Amino acid sequence: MAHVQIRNVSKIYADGTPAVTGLDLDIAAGEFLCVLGPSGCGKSSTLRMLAGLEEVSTGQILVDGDDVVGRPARERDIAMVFENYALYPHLDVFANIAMPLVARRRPKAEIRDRVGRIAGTMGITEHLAKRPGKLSGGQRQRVSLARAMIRRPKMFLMDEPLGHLEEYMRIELRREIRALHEAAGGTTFYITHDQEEAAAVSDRIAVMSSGELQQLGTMKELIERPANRFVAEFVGEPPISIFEELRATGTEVSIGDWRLPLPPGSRKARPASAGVRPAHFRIAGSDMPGLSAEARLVQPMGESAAVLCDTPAGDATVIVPMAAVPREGDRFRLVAAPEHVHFFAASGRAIRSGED
Amino acid sequence: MARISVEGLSKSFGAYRVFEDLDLAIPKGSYVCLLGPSGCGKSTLMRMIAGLDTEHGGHIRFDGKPVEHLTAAQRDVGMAFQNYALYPHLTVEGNLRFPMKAPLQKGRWSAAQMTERVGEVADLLQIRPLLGRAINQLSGGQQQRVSLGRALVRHPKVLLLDEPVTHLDARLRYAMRSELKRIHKVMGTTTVHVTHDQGEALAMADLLVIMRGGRIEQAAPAMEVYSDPATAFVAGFLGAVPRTVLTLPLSERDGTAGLRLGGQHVPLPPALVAAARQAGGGTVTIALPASAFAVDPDGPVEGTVAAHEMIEGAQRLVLQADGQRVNIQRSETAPVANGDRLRFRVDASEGLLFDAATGDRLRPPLRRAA
Amino acid sequence: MASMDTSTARLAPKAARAPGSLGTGDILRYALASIFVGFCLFPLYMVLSTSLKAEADIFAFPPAWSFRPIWDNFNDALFVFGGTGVMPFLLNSVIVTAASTAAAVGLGAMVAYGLTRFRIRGGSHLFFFILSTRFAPPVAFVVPLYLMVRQTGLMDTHLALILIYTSMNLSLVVWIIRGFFEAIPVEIEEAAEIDGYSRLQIFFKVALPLVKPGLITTAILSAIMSWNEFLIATVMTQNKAATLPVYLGGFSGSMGLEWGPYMAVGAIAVLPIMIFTLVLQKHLVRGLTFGAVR
Repeated sequence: MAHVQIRNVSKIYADGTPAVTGLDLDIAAGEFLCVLGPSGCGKSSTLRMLAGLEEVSTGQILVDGDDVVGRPARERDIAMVFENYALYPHLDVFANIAMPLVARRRPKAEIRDRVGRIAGTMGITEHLAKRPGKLSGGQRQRVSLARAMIRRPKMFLMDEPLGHLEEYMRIELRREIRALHEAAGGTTFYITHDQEEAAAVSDRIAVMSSGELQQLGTMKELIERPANRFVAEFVGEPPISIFEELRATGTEVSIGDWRLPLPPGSRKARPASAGVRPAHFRIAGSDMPGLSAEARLVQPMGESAAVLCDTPAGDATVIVPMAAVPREGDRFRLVAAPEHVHFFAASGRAIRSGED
Repeated sequence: MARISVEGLSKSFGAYRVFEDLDLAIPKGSYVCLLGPSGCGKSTLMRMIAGLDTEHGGHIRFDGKPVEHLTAAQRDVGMAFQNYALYPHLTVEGNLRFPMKAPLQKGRWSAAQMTERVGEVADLLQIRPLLGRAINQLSGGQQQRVSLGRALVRHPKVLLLDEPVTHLDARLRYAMRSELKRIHKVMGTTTVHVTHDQGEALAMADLLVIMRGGRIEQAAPAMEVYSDPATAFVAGFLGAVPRTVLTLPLSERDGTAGLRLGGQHVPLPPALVAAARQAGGGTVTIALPASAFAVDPDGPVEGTVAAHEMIEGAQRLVLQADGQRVNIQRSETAPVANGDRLRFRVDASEGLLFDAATGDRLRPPLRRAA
Repeated sequence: MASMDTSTARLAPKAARAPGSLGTGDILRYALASIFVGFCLFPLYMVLSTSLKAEADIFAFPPAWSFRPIWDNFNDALFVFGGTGVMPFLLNSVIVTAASTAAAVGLGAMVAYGLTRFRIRGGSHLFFFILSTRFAPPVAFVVPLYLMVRQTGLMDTHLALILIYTSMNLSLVVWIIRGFFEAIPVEIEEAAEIDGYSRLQIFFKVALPLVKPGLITTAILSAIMSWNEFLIATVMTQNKAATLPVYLGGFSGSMGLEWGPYMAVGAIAVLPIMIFTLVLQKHLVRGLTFGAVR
């Protein structure tokens, strides 16, 4: 278990492309940190710098206070899990799991004992004599996890470990990963592009985009208080409805035909766009104040449905209980409580009440 | 636009039987989702409809006419592949033109018509500015659109989509979903969409086909499949928090019939009792929504926390009780750790019963038991 | 690298060095590498420098590093040397190399495609058998080939060399290009099938353009082999169809060899194949990245 500090780390590739810019992240000992972001956001580069597979251009990486920049991967005491499992195809499952111990010349009896135990935990005992090629994707990733978990390294690095698996298998394995993290007490740095997965396994989530940290917080914080428009748009399913054209008049702002009080923080920066999460919209009668809307597409989700609407301010999505779902073509108004309307400055930064 | 009928279809790869005697009717102009875990046969079925795999038993008909003897091209289908499979040596425009330049299309498209049609499709998919680009200069979402455009460009009778939005990130995935539905509305083409994402299938399908192990578990309108599942598998497969599916012995206490869970008696509503008795009793399989369970220190059943996670502000728990797994969701969150023991209540009134052996739905007899 | 499990070995962390600066170890390594490169390139230097030297400079000892270059040797090589000059033989070499390379790459690509995409009974044995034609040293085949060529009346013809070189290069082409075809996701070809193209059209319009780097690689290798082959050419040709190596070989045993023109012929022999390779290599570097598939 290690306390990991990433201090002002940048990564610029030889051809001049910046992959990571001025990243600061503090990962507490025993914390499970997820990094969420679109492809090319710098999350993999960050993980590879932590692992020592990629050189750091500038900045420091402190593990328990020691700067490890420049130290090769094998000296960093980490365990890694890859999206493509990265098992040794020529070795059987037992030998694959045993590899980290064999590399450290542990006695045979100890190896047998520890492999047996971790295989039991991961439910792969009956596959120990098989080659990875004979296993399903889920089983392979269990083997890969077992190999990572057989030691107690300072840090676990996981790069989309569930990316290749099917939904039900992902749900099952993410729970096991979390349980293993808690049991092993390691510090875990975990990359995913699946936000539900991120919410499920992590203590905190770092959202990255174009090489920069956008926001660090719990899923709840990211949803309720997005730092900027990128986070607001990237996090949340179904995605937030964004309205690009606002008209501000004195103390009020209009989204289409919906008039709202200007947010208190907007004295410094004028709101340029606004967003409302589908779960925070409600449907109201046409005579109520709100955004006039016409249902265009109903997408059932089970107990509720996401209804895509045409409004004078552009597309908007509202989540409605299945029992109250409108028909396509129905007209109504969409309303939301003022605290659920997020305003963003032209720079994309969120404008918040009480931040004048 | 075509009506597709699959009749008595069977297929095996060597000794491995993918499916046997499969029947499915796809109405003209509908949007069908084939949903199931991997290996369920959904992709194989789509490949046979496409004509990429023609060695099979049984019949596939388009508008009543058998197509088994037709090649993929002669069937006039358009297909978008999971990995996009664009032609990397052609530009976006070249990719869109390629199907119209095929020898089978000879004489059907003049040069001017081709240009016009490429323009139409590019506008529909909002990729006009990309027409001159090379394929490797496109983002995933853009490639997705081009591959869709290539499938649509010829006005095919049937549009086949293999996991068309799986690789996209959430925002793009939702945008593409509504885009696909919009295009379907405009074009009216019979569309078959293969996916393993149940949320996507539920949101998009007119007709939802759930497959497992080469069998069609249920084929019905999406919300009907969700609320009125035909088999225990379907009941436990759909929904953000899937139903808990338990196989339990019938028990009797104080004259009321019920089920035995963790040594406790869970009473069943009378209609379900009748259904269970009709099936012969013994053990039955029951599917219960997350709302049927509530953590309660005074609850009758005790379970061990096997997993816990926070999703959308609610805490999801998996409890191990009596050798079975129970999914519970609660909005008030309390710290728990795996291995903790929690007591909970069960309310079986919303339960659905299934035959423990076959998994088929046990419905209450028409005349309600008093 | 698979498992990134790393040791807790307490090795002293290596001091970070600014990229670009060299340590003593690096300098030693570069020096060794440079010596080896010099060793490899020296024969080429000899050929080129000698071809530009006057007779006195050629035999100067120690060899003169600086001298006044002259073009007389090239004039001799082109028009005088050996009675006819190099031109007829150069032409023979170009014809034989171009035809055998085109045939080997064309046929080889088709064979490789068939072996990759069709389920052929015993396909893997066939694949192995194709390479087995290269297992024995070519000299072992010389007598049977000679008899075949003589019986068919192809002695001293281009066709004889074209056929033999094509068959020799084919196995290499098949082996290399098969790997390229295997890298094409089958869905790209299925898409073309649905679009309405026949197998042959798919081969020409989709598969071949995608294995262009493979075609170029094998074309370069085949051309170099055909261009420089000596043993078979010298047995199967006397005069009419003799290629450059045969022409050059004819002098090597003779006394009082004129080294200047001889080396000029050598330089002329290097040039066409070098240009061919450089031109094609540009396309190779550009290669196709399979951006169409995730």
